[in-house]
Amino acid sequence: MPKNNSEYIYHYGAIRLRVEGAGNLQMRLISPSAVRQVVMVPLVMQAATDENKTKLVNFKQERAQLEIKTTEIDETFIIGKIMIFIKPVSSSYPG
Amino acid sequence: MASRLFDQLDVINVTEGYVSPPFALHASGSISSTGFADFTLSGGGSDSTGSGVAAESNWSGQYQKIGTIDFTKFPSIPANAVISKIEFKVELSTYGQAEAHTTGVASAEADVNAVQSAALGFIRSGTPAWLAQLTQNVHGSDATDPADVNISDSQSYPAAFADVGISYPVDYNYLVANFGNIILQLYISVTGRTVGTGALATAGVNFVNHLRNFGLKITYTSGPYSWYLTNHPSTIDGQPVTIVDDKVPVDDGDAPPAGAIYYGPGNGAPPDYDWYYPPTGDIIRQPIPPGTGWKLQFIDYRPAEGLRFDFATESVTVALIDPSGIYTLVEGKTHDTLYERSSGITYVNVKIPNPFAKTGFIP
Repeated sequence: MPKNNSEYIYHYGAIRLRVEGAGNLQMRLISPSAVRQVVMVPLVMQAATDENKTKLVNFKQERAQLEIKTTEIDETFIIGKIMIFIKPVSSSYPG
Repeated sequence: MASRLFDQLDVINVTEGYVSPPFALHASGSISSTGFADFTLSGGGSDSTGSGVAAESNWSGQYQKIGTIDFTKFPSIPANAVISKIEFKVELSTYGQAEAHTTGVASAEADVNAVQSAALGFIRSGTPAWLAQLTQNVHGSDATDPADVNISDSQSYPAAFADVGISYPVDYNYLVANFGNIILQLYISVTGRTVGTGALATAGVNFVNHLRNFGLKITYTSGPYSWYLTNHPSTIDGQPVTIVDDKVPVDDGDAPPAGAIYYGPGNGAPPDYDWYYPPTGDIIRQPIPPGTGWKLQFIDYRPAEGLRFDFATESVTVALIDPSGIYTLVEGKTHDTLYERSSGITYVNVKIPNPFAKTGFIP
């Protein structure tokens, strides 16, 4: 079993953001080559906040990208920090 | 401030292919859920008078109601759509078998000669409008020589729905309210003649007809504003609508042409008038700039009450004729502004197309 943690299969459980803006922040986790994806519940942004918002997610992959975007006119976002909570659940896929 | 442009109607083919049963066609016969229908029509006669006397019998065909077209079952068509064409396609095949038999006297002979025709059409009331027809002669003779005849034809037919009272363009609401009971009907006609001499001679013709792959296709335009002179709305897009029929031309420096229809911004102030003439064929489509209101005034001409006015609005992002093509960065600006140098419209605001950020792979 490899000891390098980057080669494990992870469960993505939550995304925490330091974000200010207007509108709904759309979030999506994408697997390599965009084979699989999970669309998260949009986060309603505030113009000023002192709290980091956490959104739950359920996605199991070896690696994943986080995409964030807005879709309506005059929606904006300023992100200070992104925290992604993951936990290894498996070591590898069988060949 | 975002402004609206009123542009001409665009033809939209909603159904790329054909809409098939079951939801568009209510079968009153034997149409299955896949739209396949079998109809068997048997005709014929048996006759014998014996003793060498020839006898004849004739028979003829019948109508077979296939189903009723229910236009309310088309789910994708908006309630105020304007329909410009209705087409249908169908595959029709018919198989016939003629047989003749004799019994008894060795010299007896039976002969059958029939002509079968199958026609497909639509009917509301009165005479049906026949749109497709197949004809086949069938012949069989002698006791041991049944003749099998197959005819098969697959065709697509542009439906002449005008023959059943539909005049294009037609409002979808009106179509549903007045033409929902259009009946699809198959007419089978078999005329034949049986001649038998001898103790007993029988002859018969059996036809089995197949109707498959029936589909309807409706082409329409989307018209959120569609009204007649007698029921025009009081406002369109928040602007008041006025119909004036006083035959008094507005003085904007030019005498109006005889028989012209003109529109204006509604405030009665020149020189914002344009002249248009009554339509003589297809619907006239004209771009109309926005103003403080809509006004239609008829000079020396009062069109029929059936004249219809259709207005469709377009997103301003597709209506620009001469955009600037130059972008400048403005701090705090959260939308794009597109500029137009002609048509009296200066600028419109649109959203920036879905800005996004994507991280690298994690972990």
